[in-house]
Amino acid sequence: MIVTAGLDAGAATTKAVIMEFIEGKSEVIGRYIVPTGFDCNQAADNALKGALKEAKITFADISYIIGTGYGRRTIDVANSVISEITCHAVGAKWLHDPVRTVIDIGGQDSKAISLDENGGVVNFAMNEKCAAGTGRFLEVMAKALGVSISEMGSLSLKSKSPSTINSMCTVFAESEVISLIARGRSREDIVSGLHISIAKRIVAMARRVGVREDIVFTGGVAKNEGMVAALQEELGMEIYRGRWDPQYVGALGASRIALDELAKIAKVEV
Amino acid sequence: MKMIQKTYPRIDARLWKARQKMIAHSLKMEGTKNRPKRMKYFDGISAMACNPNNFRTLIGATATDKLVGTFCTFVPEELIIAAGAKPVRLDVGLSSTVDLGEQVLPRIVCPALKSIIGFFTLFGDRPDLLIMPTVCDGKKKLCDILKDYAPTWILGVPHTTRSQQAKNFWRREVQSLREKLEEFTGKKITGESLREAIELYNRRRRALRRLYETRKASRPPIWGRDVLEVVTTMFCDNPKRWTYQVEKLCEGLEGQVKKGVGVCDEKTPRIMLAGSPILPPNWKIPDMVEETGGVIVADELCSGTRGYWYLVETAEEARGSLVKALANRYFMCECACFTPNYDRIDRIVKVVKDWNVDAVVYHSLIACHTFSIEASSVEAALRKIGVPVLKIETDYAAEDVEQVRTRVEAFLEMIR
Repeated sequence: MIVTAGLDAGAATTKAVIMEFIEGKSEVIGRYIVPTGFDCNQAADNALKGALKEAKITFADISYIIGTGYGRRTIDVANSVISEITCHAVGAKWLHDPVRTVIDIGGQDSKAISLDENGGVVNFAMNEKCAAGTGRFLEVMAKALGVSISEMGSLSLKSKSPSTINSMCTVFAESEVISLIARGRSREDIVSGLHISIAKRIVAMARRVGVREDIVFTGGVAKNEGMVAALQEELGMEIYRGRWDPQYVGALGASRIALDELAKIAKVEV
Repeated sequence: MKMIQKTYPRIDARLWKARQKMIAHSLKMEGTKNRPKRMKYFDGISAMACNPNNFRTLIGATATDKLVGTFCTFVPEELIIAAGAKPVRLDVGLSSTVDLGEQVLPRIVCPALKSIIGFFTLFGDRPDLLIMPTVCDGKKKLCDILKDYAPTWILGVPHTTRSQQAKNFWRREVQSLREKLEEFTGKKITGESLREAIELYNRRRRALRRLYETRKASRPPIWGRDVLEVVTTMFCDNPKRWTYQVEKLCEGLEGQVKKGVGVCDEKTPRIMLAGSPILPPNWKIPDMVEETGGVIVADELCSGTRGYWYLVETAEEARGSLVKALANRYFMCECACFTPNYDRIDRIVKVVKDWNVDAVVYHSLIACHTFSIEASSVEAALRKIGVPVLKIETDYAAEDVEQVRTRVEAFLEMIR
């Protein structure tokens, strides 16, 4: 039995996934999520502890750990680091083998990754340095609308005529939302309008790298039903919906890569 | 020769910051394996070049010598030397002077312009003349602002190189520049003085070419960051001294290549930089590429090879045709301000093949429209020959360093 872990220290949350490999098969035995806060390293430790508890193993059982995400280089326990783009690609490939495009919307980044049939990254694009089209954007808007982030998905699905939101800058979009509230537009319509405006931006980015089916949507924002619907509408394509929590895909990929790294070092058969 | 020895009791905090940044970078590079010892010379020059008040000392100008500031790679500096003045190229990448530039310029313009304007406000001993070529919109309109700082001569550059009218226009512009410089210094540009200046600059170009040749080795003997430092010190260093130092550097490097010694192993991905200028001390992109596991073996930057690739053909003896030869040479800059610009793409493809490049990092400065727009045709041409391209749009500020790092890291993971 070989056990590896992947730690994804994102801008908003830190995720840990522990994987076990027996007889050529890989299986997730533990996972945990904590808010990143100020100290990435501490958050990674806490997430790992939570995952270890779920897996009912100890730290000593883990052979190799890979860190990824924004805070990857501050994780002390990680044996090596890999960028989140590669991790998301590998994670998505593990979840759904025919994947050719990964769309990831996280706390401060959004990215589109194009894969070849073997799961190798062919091309990718990321949002430029502002918060437009990221989880943070939705968080700010949720606050302005007085709803919780988890309600946004179901709210937007109820909308009959979505509002148009033109600003992509988080600060300007917030004032645009406030002026829509003042004009008496319903929450449902505004939230739906926000999702559409993000979807437009993400799809434009994804088309730059080329969109091919199957598409896997990862990152915390992928839990938002309204966002998924808006993206499907904008792409004109179906998005693969797995059984898995999309927020863990980066950490999942990291733990999968950890096995390959381990194989390189120890020459174990996988 | 009496050097100007002015003492500046206080150096502006912004320039000091840039200088410290430069020195910190040099120290970091000093810690890398197999770094040529001669790089110390270039470290010294680049630290001094962060303060514009050092330019006269660096270039070796006497009290009566006229200092002429130039921009971009279009100004035939040989004419300035032949007229008895000293040329200094004033393109800078100081992030610390951007805020000063923003007091004058609108928000969305390229950071190089903001940095240059900021740099000028801190310039104690300003140049006697500035020569600004009308290249991109930003640089073109900078003339209007720079004329408040120093007398500015506008050198017209046509927007295409393809038509005969454009070529004639450019030759006339170079001719007028010659007349302007003669009037400005009161010294006639003779065939002899021009030939001498061209020889000096051709020697400089050959030395640079030789430096780039050493990087064709499977284990490059020098980091790309160091080469960029060498090239950019050329902007303000005394040309004779600089050429001597580079020739010595090349001798050492060629020895290393023969012995099979390099700064990294054969497996390191070989990267080429292209796009907007990367100016000192803004080493964000080269640092990122080489710190995340790549090595820069070639470039296509106007702070790199673009301006120094071709020699001035001096086969013809007559004085008139020397100016013509000069004009022809400077028309081959392949800057993205030309449309169409097939020559640039052809050269990028050629360099990729000759230097055995694995992938290209295309850098565009924010609001650098010419290079940003041309990126897609460059990318298409490179994809055709199977070379991946990473496009990065950024400015001089450090705020997006981590995002850029993620992108570069993922890119290197992708090509490995």
